[in-house]
Amino acid sequence: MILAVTGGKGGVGKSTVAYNLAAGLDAVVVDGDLGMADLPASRGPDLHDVLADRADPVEAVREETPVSILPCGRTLAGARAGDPTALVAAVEAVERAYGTVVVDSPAGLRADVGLPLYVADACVVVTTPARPALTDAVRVRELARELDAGLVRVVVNRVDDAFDADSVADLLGAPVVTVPDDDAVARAQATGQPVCQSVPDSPVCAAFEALAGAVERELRRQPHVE
Amino acid sequence: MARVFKSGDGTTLAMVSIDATARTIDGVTLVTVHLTGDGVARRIRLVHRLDGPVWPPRREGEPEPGWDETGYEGIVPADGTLALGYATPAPPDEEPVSVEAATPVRSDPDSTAVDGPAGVLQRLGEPAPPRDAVPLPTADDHDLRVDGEPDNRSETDADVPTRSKCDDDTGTDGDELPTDPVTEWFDRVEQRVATVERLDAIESVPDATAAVRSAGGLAPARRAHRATEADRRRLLAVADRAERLAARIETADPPLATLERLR
Repeated sequence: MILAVTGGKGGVGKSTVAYNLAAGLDAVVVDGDLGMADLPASRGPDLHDVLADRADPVEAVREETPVSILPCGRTLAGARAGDPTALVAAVEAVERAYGTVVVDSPAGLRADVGLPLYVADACVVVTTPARPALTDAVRVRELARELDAGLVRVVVNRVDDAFDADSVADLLGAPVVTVPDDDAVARAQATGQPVCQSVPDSPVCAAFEALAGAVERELRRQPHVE
Repeated sequence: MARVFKSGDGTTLAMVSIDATARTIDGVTLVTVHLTGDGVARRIRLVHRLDGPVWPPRREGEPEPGWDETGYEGIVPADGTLALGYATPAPPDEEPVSVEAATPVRSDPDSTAVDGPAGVLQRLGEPAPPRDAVPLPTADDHDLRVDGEPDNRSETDADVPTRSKCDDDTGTDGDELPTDPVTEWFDRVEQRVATVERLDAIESVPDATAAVRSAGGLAPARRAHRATEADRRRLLAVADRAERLAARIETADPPLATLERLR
């Protein structure tokens, strides 16, 4: 199963959602943000090397981190050197080896957003309650539809009490999972810990567990997903 | 120059009228084409007939949808005009283009379906940062890795000629490589250079088609070319550092005999 976490707008929490969702699904998270990677990385081959045909995608997966990760290099030269379309074969290879892959997508609507959607069985769109973020979420939802990546859930991140989830569900045409605004999320992400590991009994952990549960239920039902 | 294109045996009413002009400015021929529908939307194949490559319109560095190295494929609207323009280094001619197929199309949404990962790239644009945004490596960059992470080693332990990402011993296990990474790197550069040389040796249109096909398409060929630009800079940086190291070896003449006596 390959799942793309996307959102259009930058800074809405795509990487945080991708990392915590991968933790809940026991998946490998692929940092697909070729130009501005922000998931934890360590020394060794990364996605830039994979796309430039310098490393094998499965061998580039780190298993020593709390969530297994295929990290991405952080330089512009590296982002320019590889073949972006090689992401498709790389993600499929990781899926064959590990079973479940979550691809963290960059912001925008370019091919680096389209290719994860192209290879994915389904997607999760991340937004905040702010209007610009919602507008971009609608755009990327359209792209996902065109590229045949069904929208499983909309994650509305950093939500306060006054939020109207139903209107967002109507706007984007998929059920909504809300993640409360909590500093513990950023603290956990900064240390590379999944939220449910650092603050297990929190509402934010419950939200990510609900998201992973919903994705499991929806995608395991699909006939082509093993 | 306006001509009427008739599909099939020319007796049917299926017609797309074509108006094409070609003019040369500073050695580049600009071709403009107007295709007008006959009341039925038709998928057409516009074939470039001049003796030279097609330089299609591009967006984000990728040819616009519908363009390839032989021409354009798209839909002429039922009651409208499809206007196209492209450039070529070939000299102009009376008939720069022709229409080869004009089959009626239904207005089906599948016509926008993308064709594989390359189709996604073509439609949405190359995500790589622009060339000007990438800092150039200099001969003083001791760390020649692509990722350019800071090199914290002191000069005294810099005894490895170059490190590739794959030979970091501080990362994961299982990084052992069957051959040494420097040789591997040179081999890969050599492969890319061979690809670019094959493309450079093109003298005719069939040659071009074959070479582009062997490179895996136009976009991979362009990437190979771009990669060799980076290779060239890195090779020169390696050469420069190698020369400086060799020069230091030549000038360093440790008084070993004296040191031996002092022991």
